[in-house]
Amino acid sequence: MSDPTEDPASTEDEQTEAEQPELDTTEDEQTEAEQPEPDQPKGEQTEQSETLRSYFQQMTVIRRFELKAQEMYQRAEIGGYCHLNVGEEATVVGLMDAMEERDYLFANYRVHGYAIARGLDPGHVMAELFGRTDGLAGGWGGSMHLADAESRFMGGYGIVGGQMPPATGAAMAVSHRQEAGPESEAVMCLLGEGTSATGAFHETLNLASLWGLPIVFVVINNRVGMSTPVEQASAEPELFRKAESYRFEGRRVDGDDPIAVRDAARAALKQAREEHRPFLLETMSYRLRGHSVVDPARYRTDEERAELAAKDLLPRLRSRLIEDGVLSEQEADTIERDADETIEQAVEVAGASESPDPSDLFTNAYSTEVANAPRAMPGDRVITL
Amino acid sequence: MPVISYREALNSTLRSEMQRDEDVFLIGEEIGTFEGSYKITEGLLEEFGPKRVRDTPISEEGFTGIAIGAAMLGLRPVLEYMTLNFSLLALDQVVNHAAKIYTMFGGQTAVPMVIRAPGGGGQQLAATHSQNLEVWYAHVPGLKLVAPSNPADAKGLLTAAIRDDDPVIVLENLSLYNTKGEVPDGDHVTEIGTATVARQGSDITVISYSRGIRTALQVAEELEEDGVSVEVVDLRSLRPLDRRTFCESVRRTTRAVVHEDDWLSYGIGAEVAASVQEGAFDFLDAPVRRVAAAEVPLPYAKPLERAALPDTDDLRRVIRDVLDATSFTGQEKS
Amino acid sequence: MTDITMPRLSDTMEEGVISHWHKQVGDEVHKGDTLADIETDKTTMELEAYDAGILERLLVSEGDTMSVGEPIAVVGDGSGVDDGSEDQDDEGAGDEDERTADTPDDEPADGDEDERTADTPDEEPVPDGDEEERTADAESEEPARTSDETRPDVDEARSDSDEVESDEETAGPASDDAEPTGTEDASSPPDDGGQPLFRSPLARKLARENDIELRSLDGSGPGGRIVRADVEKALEAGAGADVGDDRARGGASSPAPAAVPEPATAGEADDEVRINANQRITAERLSQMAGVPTFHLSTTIDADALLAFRREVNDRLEEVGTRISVTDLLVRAAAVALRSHPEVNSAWGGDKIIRRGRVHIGLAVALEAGLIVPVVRDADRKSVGQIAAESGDLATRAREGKLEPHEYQGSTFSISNLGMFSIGEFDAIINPPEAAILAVGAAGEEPVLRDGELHSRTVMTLTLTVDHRVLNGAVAAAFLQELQAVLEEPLRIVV
Repeated sequence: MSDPTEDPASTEDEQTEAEQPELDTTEDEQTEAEQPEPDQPKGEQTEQSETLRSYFQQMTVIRRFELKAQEMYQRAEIGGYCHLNVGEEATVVGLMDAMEERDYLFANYRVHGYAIARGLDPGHVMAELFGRTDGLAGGWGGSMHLADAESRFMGGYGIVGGQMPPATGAAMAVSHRQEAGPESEAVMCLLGEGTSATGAFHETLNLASLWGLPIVFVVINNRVGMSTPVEQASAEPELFRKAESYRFEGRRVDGDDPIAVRDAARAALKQAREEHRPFLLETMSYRLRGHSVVDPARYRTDEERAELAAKDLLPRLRSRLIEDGVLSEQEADTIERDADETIEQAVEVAGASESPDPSDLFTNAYSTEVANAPRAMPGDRVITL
Repeated sequence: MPVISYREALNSTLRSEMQRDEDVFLIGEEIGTFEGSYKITEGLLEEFGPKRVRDTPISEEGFTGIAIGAAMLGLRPVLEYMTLNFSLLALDQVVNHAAKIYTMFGGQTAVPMVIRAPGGGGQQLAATHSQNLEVWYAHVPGLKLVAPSNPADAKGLLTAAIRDDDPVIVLENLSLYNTKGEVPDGDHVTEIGTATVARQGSDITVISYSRGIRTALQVAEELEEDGVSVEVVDLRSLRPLDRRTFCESVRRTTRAVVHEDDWLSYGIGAEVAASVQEGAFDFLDAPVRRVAAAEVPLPYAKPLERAALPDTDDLRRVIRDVLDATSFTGQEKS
Repeated sequence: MTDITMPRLSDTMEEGVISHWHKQVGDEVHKGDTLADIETDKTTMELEAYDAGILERLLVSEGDTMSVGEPIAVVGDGSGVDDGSEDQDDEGAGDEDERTADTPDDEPADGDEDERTADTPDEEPVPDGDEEERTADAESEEPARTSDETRPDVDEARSDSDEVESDEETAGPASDDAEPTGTEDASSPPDDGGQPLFRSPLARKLARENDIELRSLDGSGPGGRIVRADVEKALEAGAGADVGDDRARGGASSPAPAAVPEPATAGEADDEVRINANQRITAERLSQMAGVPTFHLSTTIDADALLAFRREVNDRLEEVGTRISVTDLLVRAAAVALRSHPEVNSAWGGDKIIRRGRVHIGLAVALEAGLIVPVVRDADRKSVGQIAAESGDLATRAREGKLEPHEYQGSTFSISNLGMFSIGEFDAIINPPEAAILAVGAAGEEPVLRDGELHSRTVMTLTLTVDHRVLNGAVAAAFLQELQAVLEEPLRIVV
């Protein structure tokens, strides 16, 4: 029921009432809400069609990537933890589209899709999952710690809430160096809804507001922290309201609607840039899979599973785009085939990449060389004279 | 060389580094208007303004992470914890973020930040405010940890820390702030990762750092009158640890005692002793002994606190023990 | 109680050398057990036990020579066990079955350096793969072990030499780590009462360097621990041979080889010439050098001044009866040059370089029975006269096969002079683990132009073989240059 054209500066009351999609919103209601207003000018419609086509293409790539990641995990090419964005693709592409190149992104550990939508090569993302030298972090980070400083993607962080203080620090550095204005950089910090219970969440919201920092906190609310529903984790389940106690603005948006997500994020980033003030955006989406690839999600009933499957946004978007004449069946098929092709290539790139050599174990130990830096391998003498 | 206090050395170093590099800024509780709980940041708010001297609310985790993020974007924060004890509130940010980001992201993003904090007991601050937590941080790869024992090193090591591109913890000690010493004028950098022989001697090596060095030097002075020549090695840097310097010293003196203000088990002394037996085994004439604090939460009552902390008497007694165990006569040919 | 005597093991044998004890005091001996390896004039034989019982005493140490028929050990019922060899039970933790006996740890009996197999890499380079210069047949040898690990502050002497195999015949009860326990040095003189020997690592090292028997000292440290002060006191009192040998040597030391003429064979058939222990050890040690990166530096020196100097000195010393040789001058000159180039006075230590504190010059002496390198110790602190007297004595006794192990071990730099064989120049093979060896050729005349006139001068060629792991060319060259300068200005030899 969110209105993509809604001005984020509208009053709080209006917002909080108007913009909370009911949790049990039916599909129909939602998709209706997403349809362009009949009185929209043609040009805008065409533009929106193009955007949606592009979003569908990106979302398909991300979906296929994540399914392939799960497969590769099961084939033991990928180790450790591996969290998927399956069900979150609309939020991913909407948020990333809203960001400017000069903006900084800090994320949590459910991050593959964001890296791809930020424009990074799926092959290099997959290579990191494989732990190879061509991976974004050279095999040092893995699934949870993708990072690409060049594109100002400042990393995925595996400690819940751990990314929030550094993200706020990046915003502090921006405000330290730049005046507020349309040219200013801004920071986007992604977090899950479970993170809103941590101390870091509250400390950083307080500091960001107190110091007037250009940062948009985005709570990716997929309604469940591992197995814990948000209502059991937060005394205030409408998480965007948590900004209120720090005297800045929060807003909730339908995370299954990529355009709505983009517009809300754009508006939030614009305010962060031009006023050097934080913003708390909450996107509502569904986690279609377990918490990670090794979570069978047994805490969900069969009924819930069926419901979730019905809520899967990607097939819904596909049918809608075909219905609206934005895509033909063939084009949709082609997009899906191309996505498969892209992911196959990504797997090839990852598979062809070298594993890091143990001789490089200390290569990135320190940025500034230091006397007597420990270099002993297990069993080595620590001192020989 | 001018003689100034440890506090003045830190204060003037912060000032000159802030003048030298505009990316350097200070962040911490009560460091601006209040000028620091221990007045290390005196006059700096006035000189550099609130943007460069940033007072924070009481949120160690938040402002530690903020310093990390700012450093990732190329600023050079110098963070103060009011006392080292409060760093525990930010342990996740220090250990899981500051220490990891450069390596974990494959060397893409350095974290050029400094954490300063005073540790140590002896001021009747009781259990939660009297700790020496250096071992906690010295254990973590990715961090660098220095512990200056005198004003000159306070200047030299803090300067090195600020100019270093990695997270460096500068461990201060409450009881050192008023101590005085000669400090070189102008640019003075002490290399991180190096120990130094603070006093030359031939009969026994005392290895220590921070306040322990003052204890060791005092004991060395006293023992000299008794014909015992004590060599004192100041570790200065606890990560990386300069094993060579103290092992070479022990090879010369054949006897070693480690003095630390921290608790004994798993302490710096344990690491030093292990290194000595590896690096100077055949030169040892007696087991390496450790002088360290009693393993209790530090009590408030003065007599209890005094008993729990290692002092000159304890060190002197242990040195005597080691000398006696090796039938020391004062007549040794070195 | 039965005396075991030196057996006669060959038709021409008059005396034998105990090269390795397979049993230790306190060990149970069964008939047929191998008690010791005995080196005869021809080969090494096993001494078999003919009596069962407990080995109560060892009367001679490894490396000692005894005439046939002389008692070398005592086997009895155990009542007369000489506690000097450590039949130590751990106090409080003694397990009666536990075989703790082994070497009187860490004091190599005179000249026996089995202990040197101890893994003390900090100062003892153990030449790779040759930690035991055993004279015995490999298959009858066993790893030298101590059971010291059960005691505090005691040396852990371990041999991990790969040339040893346990002798399955050895039926001694297993030591605490259930490996066959070989013997080591025969025990030093009987002592107190089976007490474990406590001493600091430093005391152990000093004792080893100075050939001090630790067990003979009173420990003044806690619990009787022997500390540096005790060793120094003993040294002041004149104990120990001043050998300063800190070379790792494993195994039973080889005896001074007796010169044995090999029987001449008639006819044209191939003849196998049996080598003696000394030759085998020499071969093994030289083989270690295979694969070692070495390089050679040669220089030709003007020897006129040196020879004139020698004549002058000999004229003066005539009444004393000492004659110095060119070799004596070379020893002294090399020592002088080493003092100013201490890096050459080094050894390869496997993962480090050991800079030697003292200068001991080894002199290669060819015997019919092989090569031996007697050592002039502290050559940099001795006068040429002293060196001449010592080296003469060493060479004589080397030829008679009467050198003690400490007299031919522990050199830090060696010289090989083949001048007497009219060899002009040659390369010598390094005496491992030393860093270099100097090969000296014969003095010869060569024409030289001076002011347009033809003169002749005497020259000698010196060739330095250098272990490239220890020294680089420039350093070695500087040393050779210095040596040349000293030899060409012979007064510097004695200054």
